[in-house]
Amino acid sequence: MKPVWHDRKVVVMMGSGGVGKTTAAASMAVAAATSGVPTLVMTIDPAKRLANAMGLRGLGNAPYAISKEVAAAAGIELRAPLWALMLDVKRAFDELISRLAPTEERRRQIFQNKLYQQLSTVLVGAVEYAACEKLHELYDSGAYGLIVVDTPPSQNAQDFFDAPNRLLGFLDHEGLQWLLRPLADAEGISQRVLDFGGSMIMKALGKMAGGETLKEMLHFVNGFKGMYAGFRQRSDTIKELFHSNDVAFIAVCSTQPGQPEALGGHLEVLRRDKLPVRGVVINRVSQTSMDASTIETLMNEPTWTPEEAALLKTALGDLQNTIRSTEVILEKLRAEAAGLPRIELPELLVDAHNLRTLGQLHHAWLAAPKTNT
Amino acid sequence: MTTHATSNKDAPRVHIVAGKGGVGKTSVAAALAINLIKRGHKVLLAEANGGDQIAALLGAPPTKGSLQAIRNNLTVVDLQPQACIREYAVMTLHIQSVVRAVLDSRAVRRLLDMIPSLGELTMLGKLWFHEQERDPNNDARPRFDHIVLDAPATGHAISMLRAPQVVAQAVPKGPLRANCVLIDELLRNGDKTRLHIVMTPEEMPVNEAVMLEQAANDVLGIKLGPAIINQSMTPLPNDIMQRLEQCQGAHHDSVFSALRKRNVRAQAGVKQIGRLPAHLHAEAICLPRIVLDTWDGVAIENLAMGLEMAIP
Repeated sequence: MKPVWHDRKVVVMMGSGGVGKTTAAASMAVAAATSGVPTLVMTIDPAKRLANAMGLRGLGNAPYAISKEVAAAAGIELRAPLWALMLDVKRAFDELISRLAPTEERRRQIFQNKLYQQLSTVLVGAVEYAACEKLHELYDSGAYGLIVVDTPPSQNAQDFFDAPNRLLGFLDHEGLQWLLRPLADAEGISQRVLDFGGSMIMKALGKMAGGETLKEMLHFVNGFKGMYAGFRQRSDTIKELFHSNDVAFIAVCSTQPGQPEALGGHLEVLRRDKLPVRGVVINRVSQTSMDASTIETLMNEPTWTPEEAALLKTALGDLQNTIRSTEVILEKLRAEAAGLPRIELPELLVDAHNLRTLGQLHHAWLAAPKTNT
Repeated sequence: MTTHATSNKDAPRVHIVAGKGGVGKTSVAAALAINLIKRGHKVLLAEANGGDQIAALLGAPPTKGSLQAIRNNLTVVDLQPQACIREYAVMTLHIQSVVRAVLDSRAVRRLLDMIPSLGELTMLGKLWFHEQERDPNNDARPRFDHIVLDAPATGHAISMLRAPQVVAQAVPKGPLRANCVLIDELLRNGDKTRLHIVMTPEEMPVNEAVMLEQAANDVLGIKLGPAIINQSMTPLPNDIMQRLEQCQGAHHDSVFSALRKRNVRAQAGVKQIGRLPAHLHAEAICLPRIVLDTWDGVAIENLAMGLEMAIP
């Protein structure tokens, strides 16, 4: 029986916020490492979930190896190394610029630009782009048998894939050439720009943002002169990687209302972009069952006071509703996932926030995935 | 039933709802809005590029970035960064043909795309604008009595709310910076604006609630309103559990086991809430767990009632 990650080097978890993607990513990584695959799990989540999930205080931009002893104490027998990494976006971006800047001088020019300093980490698509860059670097290193990627919460899978393109859009120095023609040299802004000679658009932009701001923006863009090709090439390589046979995607969902629709949406985007989907993870699948007649018997016990009966009624009602609702949603999720291997992760008594609970979950990845007939 | 709302000049008018993804921000924002309109107020309920979830939840067609009146006193909108940038251009440039020439130029759009936070900034700017807006029929009254914003998930919410400061620091003195300052002032105005942190009684949501509280106090300077704890469960007292255990019954085990699991969860939840800073805990509103297959307007009405009862 082959696990869902077999013959893949990279597995990317997609799904909306709050469904347990990080738990799915981390537990899968644990499963892979216990089955003998040197594995790294990467998160780009600003709220530091993975650190919580792995029971660690914090992670850096470099892979952190989980010690075999610590894992064993948590009930996990690692047969291969397991690493975790939380992306530091600012640093990743800085590293990228350093690598692509044609000269030391230019590198400094970019880093010193106020716009870059303040805004590089919130650049539209920057986080996703930096993540893709890091992923590529890790993949290239050949040091890992499997890289599991936990993506940031997003309403749609679109955001993750569009990001590098949007980022490239602004870096397209050539595309902005006509606007920058007044720039006489690479160093500064010429007097003609200050006059916004004849250009209605320049005047308009100046009015919207202020002349000084416009100069800063142009200066910023100018800093990237000649680097576009490098960015473009890397972006193309990343796109190739996503479509290669080394990468697979897993859609993660949970038994909450709205999830069947969300799952459908995510699968649709993946199919449309012809990206290989290896499976679906359904989180929080509870395994409770209740007998109606037993409930009635319990409720009718003569020893309850009215207050106690009320409390019990609420609790039992809550349970019944939950079981019924979960069943309905689970049916819909299974239908959406038709044809794809399913991994159903049980609802834990408390959420996975440390290695021990990840250890409890990892067995589900090693069992045979279910499929709809 | 419409009551004529007494305009309480001291009450906050801008309510920002934030928290971890998946805790029910959108639902709580919608419930908050429902309660306000029930009291006769005019409300603008906005989400920030959220995929028109609010419209879907309340059974209305997608807003696609335009304000849409969906019932008496309730207007909804899913703020779209591109549309907001366009509106900003219209406001500063005035002449439509110029606006078109500017924004239809791919090169310019790229340039604007590049000022990161610009989209987030203009979305906030639009809210600022509507906060200032007067009632077209009565200049003495505002167009909206209340504005409720369903913010994005924690990290994104913080960066969005920081956008005015970030852009102000990145650009030189001029109209853009001046606007940033105005928007930031509204956010920091403790009389007008409140941030409501939403969480469920679970570890990660509480972690993020703590983060948001810190950010609100440190870097954002936004005043906190009561936090909202969604999906609360009250554990059954040990005494009841013990007596249940003693009950006889052939199929009793599965029920008892289910109740015990529920109790463990409920108790863990209580413990998590106990981790909140004292003042946040003290003023938090607990909303009981609601279980439904489909989450729609009915669920929101339910939530709204719970929220209403919790407010003295």
